[in-house]
Amino acid sequence: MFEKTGQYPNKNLLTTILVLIIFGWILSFSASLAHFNSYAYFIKQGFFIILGISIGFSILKIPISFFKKYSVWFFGLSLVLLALVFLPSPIGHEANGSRRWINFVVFKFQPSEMMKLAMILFMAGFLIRQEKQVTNSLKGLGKTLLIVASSAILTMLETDFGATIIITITALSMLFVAGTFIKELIITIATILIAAVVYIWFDSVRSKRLFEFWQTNLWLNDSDKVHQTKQALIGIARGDWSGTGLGAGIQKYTKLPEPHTDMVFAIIGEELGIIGMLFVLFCFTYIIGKGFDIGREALKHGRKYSSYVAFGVCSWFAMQTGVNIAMNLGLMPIKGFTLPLISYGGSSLIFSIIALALILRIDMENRATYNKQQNYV
Amino acid sequence: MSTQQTTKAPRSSSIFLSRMQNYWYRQGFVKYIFMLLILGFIFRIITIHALDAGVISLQEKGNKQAAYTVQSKARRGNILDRNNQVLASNLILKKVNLDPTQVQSAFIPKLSQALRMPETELRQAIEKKLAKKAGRKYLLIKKNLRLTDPILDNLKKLKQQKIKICKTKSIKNKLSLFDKALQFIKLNTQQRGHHNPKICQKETIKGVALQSDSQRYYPKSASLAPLLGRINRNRQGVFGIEGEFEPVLAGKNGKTQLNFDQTSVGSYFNPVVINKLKHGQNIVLTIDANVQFYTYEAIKQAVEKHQADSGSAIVLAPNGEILAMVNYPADDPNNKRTYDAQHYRNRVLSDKLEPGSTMKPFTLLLALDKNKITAADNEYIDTSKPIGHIKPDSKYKQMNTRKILQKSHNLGTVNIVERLSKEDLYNTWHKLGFGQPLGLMPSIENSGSLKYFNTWSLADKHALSFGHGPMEANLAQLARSYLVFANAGNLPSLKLIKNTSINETTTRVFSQRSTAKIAQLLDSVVSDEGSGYRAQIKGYNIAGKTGTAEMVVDGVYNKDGAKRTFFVGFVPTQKPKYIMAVRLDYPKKCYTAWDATLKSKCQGSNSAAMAFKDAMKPILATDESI
Repeated sequence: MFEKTGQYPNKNLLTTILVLIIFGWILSFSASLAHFNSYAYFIKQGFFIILGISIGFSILKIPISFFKKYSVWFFGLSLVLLALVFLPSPIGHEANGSRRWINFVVFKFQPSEMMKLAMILFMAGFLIRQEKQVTNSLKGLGKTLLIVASSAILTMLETDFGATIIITITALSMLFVAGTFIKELIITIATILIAAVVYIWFDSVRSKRLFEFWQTNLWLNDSDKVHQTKQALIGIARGDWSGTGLGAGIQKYTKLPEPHTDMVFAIIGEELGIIGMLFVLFCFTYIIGKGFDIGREALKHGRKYSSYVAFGVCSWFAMQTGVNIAMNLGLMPIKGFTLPLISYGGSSLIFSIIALALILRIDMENRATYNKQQNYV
Repeated sequence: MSTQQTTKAPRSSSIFLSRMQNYWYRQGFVKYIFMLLILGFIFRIITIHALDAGVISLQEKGNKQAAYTVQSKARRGNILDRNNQVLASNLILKKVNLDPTQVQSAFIPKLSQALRMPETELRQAIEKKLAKKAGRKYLLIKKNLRLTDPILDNLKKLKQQKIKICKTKSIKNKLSLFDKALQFIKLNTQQRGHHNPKICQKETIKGVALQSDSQRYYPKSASLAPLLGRINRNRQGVFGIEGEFEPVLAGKNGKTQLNFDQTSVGSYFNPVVINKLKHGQNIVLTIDANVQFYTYEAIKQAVEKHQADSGSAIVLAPNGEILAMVNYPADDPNNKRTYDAQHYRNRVLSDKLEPGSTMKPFTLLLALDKNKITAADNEYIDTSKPIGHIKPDSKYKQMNTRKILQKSHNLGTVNIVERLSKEDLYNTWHKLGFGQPLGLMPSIENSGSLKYFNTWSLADKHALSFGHGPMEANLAQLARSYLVFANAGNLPSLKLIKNTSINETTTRVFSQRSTAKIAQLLDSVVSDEGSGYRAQIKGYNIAGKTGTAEMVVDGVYNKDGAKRTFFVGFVPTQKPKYIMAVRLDYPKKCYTAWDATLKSKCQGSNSAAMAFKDAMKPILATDESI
């Protein structure tokens, strides 16, 4: 199971990831202070970080071929866990009207976070196994959609809208990269879009609900739905260039709901200002950009599976951070998307760290000697 | 396009490489889309501060919503009399507020008992509120409850009681997960059903709130109402002292802005005082509540007995302090339901009128001062020939000064005034303060008039000698002029606010010798021989002068014989302690002295003089120093 590449992980990338994790730890603590007013969540998140980092370092020792081999099992396990959520109370856990958690007494496990990673690992393997079909006909596309649908229905039932979107689009973008016919992909996407448009267009209530956010002036709109957006913008505006100082924000106290999860970026904006926000943005850009490069490097060496995994992880991160930041900057209506590595939440943090560890491992394998490269996928 | 051509070509290793290249570009494509997105975010992050939130900038809005304004109400000052008796104060009251949406209907019988009102009435009030759309949660059921009110005790007990209350609760049916998901993606818009189980619980009463309130309270009720005035619904003073000294009494409401702020140490409110809170100050009047009360009762009785339109009186101390200022009719200011602006009119200060015969002593005083008469009992003044249009009567051919005052003889006075110059008259009247403001309550005071002497005709001069013609004065000015008898010819100014710091300045008007002489003559007016005989009080030396003046109604002297009757007097004659002026407007029923049922023409002697006596008697009885 364990195997050494003889290489050290990329120092810059590793440092950036660790810095971002520590930064997120402090900021989500500052944001959660208003709600919990104790160190409990700081300690809990610290525990998750230590757990995540130790898992991450062990993953650096495991070759990617191991994941390719067991990706089907991994995917199957995720599906089962997703379904377990629906079991009654002692096992399944309900909060804010949605069932997304499995109760492990000490902490609550969110299988949809695991599914995001499992889908990438499985999809990469599937695309390689079915390469001919995928690149040749609509049949491959249909199969992909079937796999995506299997998890999407479950996450939809959990009313986890964010996870559904991320998993679906990540899978489709991997399909796109794996060389499916653009024409067919476009036809499929267009069909879905047209169906959606027809569904929405002819019902004024639905279209209004969907486009209301962009159509009406935010500041003349008194509805509760945009309250969070307004408060996020006000918080960011309060911060100005250098911010009010760490822990000195006031929006988190009464005005801004969910400050330590979805809205943590707005809190960064208020407390650390434009400088803080740009810092976070550049860290993510570096990590994701580097990740894309590692994926392409792997493809250069002919190791497709690794390449697809790296690409999948990067597009997942890109989408999740992009949507979350857009929400915080008032460009999109608020839906539950967390900011990876920074927002409070155990499952999300651990699987993000695992995913980044995979990228680091792929990079190490890229740099390994030719002899070793023979065994890598 | 090239993609399609290559992918459709037959598979070979070389083509595989070129396909590889394509995937390469596809990965790059996704990467650059992401980079573009990041650029967009950077732009947005930097420009977000320049955004406008509606009318104001986003940053201003942020600062604004972090600030709270706290208002603190100023306490209104009390009004006290010279002995620190409370004349106007704030009473702490309670009011009961119901929230009709919360009050359980099973509690209504008990609540109506506690509130001491009929159950049906309470039920109706609650139902009426519930039928409304706005303000359903606010029903003011009882207000102005004193702290000792039994209702408050009842409510306290009621709030501890628990009774079993059953109600049907509407619970939403549970949704299957599939339906939930359908609803989530808006495919299923069907509403959830309900089931209604009956739930019984022991509960305490809900929705009853006791709130604090304050009310201006005037313990002396109507007796001081026209002087003190009252406050309106907005708690601003209107009329009287309340209106005149509103800025002093009301104080200033405080306004503090609390800015929510936060440092790494902790959160706190940073207060910025915008308006400093300043409580109202107390005002101490020179009024003596007891003197005021006795005078009020006497005037009230007199007005009712003589069926006068109104009555007023003022009582002065020798140093010019006002001990009582009475007006009738008056209302109880604690009764908020009745309100008549006329009943808050301070007639003492705001009516200018011709004082009539009460001015005669001053004509004689001036003549005595100028040595035109000696005022000795053996000096006779001829009253047999007419002067101007004033004709002699058959009864008196000649009289001495004592007789002139006793009988209030016009021709005699005119005869004396013939010996005086217009200028001397004007100067003296001016020194007595006629036509000049008293400065007590500038907003309501009418300072009367005194025309300049070179505009006077001869008839004006004659009329002036008995208080008509080119002068008009209010009752306070008239009473003040009588202060010369208490101050040996000096005239102090009037004072309504007790303030010891002001240095007293008096003006000398007459000589001590003359005032003493005329005071002695006035003493004989209030004797069995004089017109003021009905003002006599056993055991006291009273000096005074009656007066009757034609009333001017709508600009002309009233043809129906409307009279205004006066009496100004002081006690005791030698060293006066109380100076009092009484005025009755248009008394219609007066009686002769020898038969209390026989009607007679109303004059100062048979109306105002009696009111003087009624008022002065209890005042003197309670004053042990005389």
